[in-house]
Amino acid sequence: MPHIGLSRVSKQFPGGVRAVEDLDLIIPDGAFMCLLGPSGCGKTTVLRMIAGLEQPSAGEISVGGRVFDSVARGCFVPSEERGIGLVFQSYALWPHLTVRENIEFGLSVRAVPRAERHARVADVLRLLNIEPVADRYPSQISGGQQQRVALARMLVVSPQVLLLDEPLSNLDARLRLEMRAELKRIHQTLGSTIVFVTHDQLEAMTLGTEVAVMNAGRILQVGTPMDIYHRPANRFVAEFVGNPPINIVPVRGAGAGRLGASLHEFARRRLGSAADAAWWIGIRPEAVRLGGGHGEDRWVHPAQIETVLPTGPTWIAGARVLDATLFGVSFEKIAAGPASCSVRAEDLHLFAEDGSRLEAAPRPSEVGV
Amino acid sequence: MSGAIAAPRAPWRGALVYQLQRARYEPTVALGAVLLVVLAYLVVVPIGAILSDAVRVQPGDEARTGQPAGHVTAYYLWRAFGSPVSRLLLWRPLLNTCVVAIGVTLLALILGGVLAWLVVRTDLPGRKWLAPLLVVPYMMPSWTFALAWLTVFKNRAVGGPAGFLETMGISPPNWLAYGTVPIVVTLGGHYFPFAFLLLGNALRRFDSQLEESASVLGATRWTTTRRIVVPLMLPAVASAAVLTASRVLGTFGTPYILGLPVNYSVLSTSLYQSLRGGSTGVMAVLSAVIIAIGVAIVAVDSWLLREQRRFVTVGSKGAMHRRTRLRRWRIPAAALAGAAVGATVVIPLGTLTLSTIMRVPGRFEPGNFTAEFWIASRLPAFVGYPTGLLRGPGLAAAAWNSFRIVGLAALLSGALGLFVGYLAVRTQGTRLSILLRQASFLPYLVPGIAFAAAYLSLFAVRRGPIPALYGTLSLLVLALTVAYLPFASRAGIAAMMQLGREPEEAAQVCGARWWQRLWRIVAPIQRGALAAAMILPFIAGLKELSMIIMLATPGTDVLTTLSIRLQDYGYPQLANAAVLVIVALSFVVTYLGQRITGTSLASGLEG
Amino acid sequence: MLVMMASRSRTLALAGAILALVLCGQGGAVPLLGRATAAAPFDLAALVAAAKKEPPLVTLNNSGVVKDIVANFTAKYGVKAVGTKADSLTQVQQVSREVQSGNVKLGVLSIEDGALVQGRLIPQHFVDNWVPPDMLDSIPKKWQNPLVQIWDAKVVAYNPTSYGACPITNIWDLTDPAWRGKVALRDPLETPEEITWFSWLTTEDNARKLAAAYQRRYGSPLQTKEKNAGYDFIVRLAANQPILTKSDDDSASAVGAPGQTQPPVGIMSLGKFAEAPPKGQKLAPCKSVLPWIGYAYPRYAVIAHNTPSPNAARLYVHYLMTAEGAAPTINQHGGFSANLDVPPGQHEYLGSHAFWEKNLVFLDPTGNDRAWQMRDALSDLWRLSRR
Repeated sequence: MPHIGLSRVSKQFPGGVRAVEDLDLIIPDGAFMCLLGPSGCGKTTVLRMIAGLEQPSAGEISVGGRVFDSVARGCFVPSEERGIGLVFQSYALWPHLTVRENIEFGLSVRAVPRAERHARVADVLRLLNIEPVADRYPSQISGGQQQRVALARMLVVSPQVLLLDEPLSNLDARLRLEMRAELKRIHQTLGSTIVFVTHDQLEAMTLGTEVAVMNAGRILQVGTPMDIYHRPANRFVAEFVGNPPINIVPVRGAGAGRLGASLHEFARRRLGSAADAAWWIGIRPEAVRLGGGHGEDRWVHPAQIETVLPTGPTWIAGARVLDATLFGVSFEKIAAGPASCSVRAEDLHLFAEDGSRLEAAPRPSEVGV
Repeated sequence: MSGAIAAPRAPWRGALVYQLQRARYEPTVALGAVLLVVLAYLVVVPIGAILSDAVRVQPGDEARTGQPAGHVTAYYLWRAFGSPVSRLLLWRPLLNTCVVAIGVTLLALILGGVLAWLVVRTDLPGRKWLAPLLVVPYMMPSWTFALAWLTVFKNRAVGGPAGFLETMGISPPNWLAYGTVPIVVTLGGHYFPFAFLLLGNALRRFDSQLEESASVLGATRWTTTRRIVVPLMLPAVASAAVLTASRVLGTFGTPYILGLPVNYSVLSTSLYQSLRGGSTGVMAVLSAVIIAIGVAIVAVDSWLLREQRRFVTVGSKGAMHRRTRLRRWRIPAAALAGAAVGATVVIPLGTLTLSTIMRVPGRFEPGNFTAEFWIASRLPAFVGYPTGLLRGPGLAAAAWNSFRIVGLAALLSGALGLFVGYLAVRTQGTRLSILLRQASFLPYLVPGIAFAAAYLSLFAVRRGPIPALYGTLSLLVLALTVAYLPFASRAGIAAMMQLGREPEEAAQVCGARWWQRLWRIVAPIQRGALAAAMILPFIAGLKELSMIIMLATPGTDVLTTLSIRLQDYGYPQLANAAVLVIVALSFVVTYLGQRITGTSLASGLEG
Repeated sequence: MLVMMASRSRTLALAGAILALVLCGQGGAVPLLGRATAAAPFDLAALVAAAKKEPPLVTLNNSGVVKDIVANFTAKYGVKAVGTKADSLTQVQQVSREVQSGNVKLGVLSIEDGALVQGRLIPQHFVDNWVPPDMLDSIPKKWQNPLVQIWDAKVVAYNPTSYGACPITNIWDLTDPAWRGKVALRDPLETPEEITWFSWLTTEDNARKLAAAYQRRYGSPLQTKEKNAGYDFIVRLAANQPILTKSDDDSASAVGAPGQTQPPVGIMSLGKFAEAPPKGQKLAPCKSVLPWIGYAYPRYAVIAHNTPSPNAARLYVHYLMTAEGAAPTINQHGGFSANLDVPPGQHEYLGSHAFWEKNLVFLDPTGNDRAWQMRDALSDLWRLSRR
């Protein structure tokens, strides 16, 4: 299975909209790569460019060493010859063909012999549990089944790369969970390279072996889900990933208040010179400990818990510390009232003026995983 | 195509090669460009040709203009706008056209509006039956009503067999028999379905809660109507008015039948007379005037549509439809609606039918009734068509021509429209897409009669690779195809937008090449849309007169020109019988079309 | 022998016509059977044989009688032909556009609008003139270019059941207030052949006769702002709210419809008198009107330039000029063939040739050039004089 390489790829749409800017990305062989980002960040465009449905304005795209697009060198391989599968968000099933015919289409245009065709369709129907609806039309089956047909249609041609464009967004919560498991199973069974576009960070974190976070046409960080979560490369990634979202405390400039000053002073003491350049300090809610927690490596301050939001397994609390509010999350019940608030030094994320991460925070291996 | 690494090239060359490689697999842009050139030739060039004819000396006019043929001249402009006869060539027809257009529009709006309100918003008895019946007048040739009118009201001021009333000893005055009054009444009766449908749709979307909330706030009924209903209905009213007026502008049959006997001409008939008289230059000037008015009307329309967006939120899905109780007005209202159907459908068709079985029109005596005009094997005095209509070879030939020409044009128009839709949607966002849409919409601005005039001057001689088409059926087919393209391409664009690009892209990533995608995915999915895009042009084409009368040669009669020719020869019984045949065919085709496509013609009327 | 305008220009025109005829006969691109020279005698059989190999002949004719002529023609020679009734303007439009487009289907035009034929169709080479060589002597020379096929006449007609005798005795009656709105004629703007008649009225010779008739009618000489009595007559006729029809059929039914108390009179062609009885119309021609009861007008036979069936076209023109070919027209319309060997028809409403000569203006081909030059001016005069 091949790796996918995008090198200095840009895409400008007619009318001047720049969807992708100078993008470099290598997706390793066999990876389950999630492209994560807010809507309109260009992630779908990247996917469509890999599939050959959009053409880059500049740059090069290759799969398994074969150049699919190279604007500078004049190389182009059309979508239909790329051997790539793409599952659309809308499924895009063909309404005039039955489920079986939908799945068979890719084989028939490749002139696969009839007997083999039938065997492979039957395999895929079984793999995705849609044998009972094989002879119905797309309009006669449920949304979940449609999703499976869309997937089956691509799997049947054994693509070297499978691209998925927010395929689960139209399903209800239960079906989503099922399909996530299904996708993971398929990835493990087939071992193909999968690129999965989503704006749902939970989906990305749970499914991907790797996650690439995008914003405004650029890739901000590529890494394992744990990497992304625990060592966000910049403020945007830190804020986009994680729920409830990370606390960001300005420590310098106009927004900085007394909480910022206190944290900054602590960080300089514990983390050295890197903290000097910090403009913001980020603290994940689960790192905010309310009640208890002492020691040299902790910043501790009295706080007043003002709001408590129970989510079921956890409690989210908003605590007033000095002149700002910090959100914490806990698996133990929290009650409103005065409490002490503490954060470990290695749980502080430092960000420079341009939002980029300042590497003085604790090394990832030291962070309790 | 091999993806093997090629030697680096100059950046622009690389980009060029890249685009060329792409175009090999994705011909939409190339095809779109080709189609645009074709459309430009079929749509833009004819309009340019007619405009240029207006200022160039036409062959045969060298003596009049004192210049050699082809030279730029203001002679035709002078003749049409400034000479002593300009009053008769242009100004009076222009005035008449305006009067007729305004009169017809008002009549259609009032009639259509009242009926729409009765059918949509009240508990009128029998409204389910009325709705389809009220669309019927539009399915008949526009001049059907005019022929029926003449059958009753024709007086001795013109020759030919007199009307029913005259025969019975009552002599209708000229103003009732010919000119403005009957033209407005008959065209109003033909075009009110536009207003009925448009206003009906608007009223259907219109939330009665708005009215009710106004009354709750203490507004009187009159204030409610004036302050709430009228402003909200205004865009629909304006659209219906614009649509009706633009149709009246190009209509030919009715003013030809009811106007010319008393020397009452409108722009379209004046244009036709100029063509017949061989005054190509003046005809071109008149065409330009008609086109200019058409463009102005459509500009008003699009401006109004832009305004209308402000009201889009009004018609939410939760709109309440509370029907007004008519109470003691139920019966009078039903009578009014019934009378409308009677006056615009039953009476015209009944009169025409009656006229075809009477030797002397209007003499209701047993011996005067005969079936000979339909079935006689020999009609002694009728030299031009010496047999009953159904017996003569003329009808069969004309019907065959109608089906052949209109059928082919509808097929081409529908297919071309869908293809325009496909390419315009696929190249969405590019200038090409916009140009494709505009070019395919352009014929809408040009009334049929002016368009036909343009085709005559463009295709009269061989130009480049296009052979001269005059006198061939291809010219008729081509002209009708292009004339109906706006409807078809609008339907095509809508269908393609609805389909989206993803089904095709899914096939592409499955390995299907462009033609496979088109043939196995897009075309089958759009089968229904294609049928729908063809039915409307077909029905419109069956009753098309103004274009065909300009382009058809005497050897190639279609049903409509056969009818008008029989009228010209002074055989009204045969002419009326031919119209009835057209009406019957139109009904049958509409019925079949609705059965096949499962859509109602009414929904497509808005064009 | 007939009323004609003797002038030097006519002689010149005639000479030119003969010259054109000879040139024309040698210039065609088609195999020239029946060349108009004495050396090659006319060979009808060869013409028939050649015509049979050609596509069916398409012919247009102002009269619906063309159906019968074509049927008889095909029956006689076995040469297929299609005949359609079409008015002059339609014929001119079609032939000029066909020739310009190079896509010629037409063969023979039987057309009444001589001014257009001579003023436009022949100079622009849309049609060719051809005279059957074996008839050069029996057709008067002045009727040979363009070739007159048949002479018809338009005369004042009345309804004999309503009026015992013709109520029109002087042509100025038609312009008199007594007949306001009660004179039917074809609309000159729709059928400009009528304008040709107007142009004949305005020649000095005819205008003098008109002026004399005016004095006879009203007792005092005509006072007019117009150039002569001819123009004045046109202006007055237009202003008298005539009933303008699309065809003589309509004029006939306006005049002849039964049960009218004060029916109009009309100007219509002779054929209408034959058609009247089966239609139940009452029609009779006026036989004594000063200075004329109407006018005689020719129907020309010309061949479309580059016709695909040149031999069939000639055969057809030849046939038209025979007694057999003229018979349907003469029998249904009246009138007489330009081939003086052909005897006059059975419907002789107006008596002898001598009667025609005395009572009708003859619209000879010699006046076509003048009619063509004056056409626009006279059309505009008519238009502007209408009330």
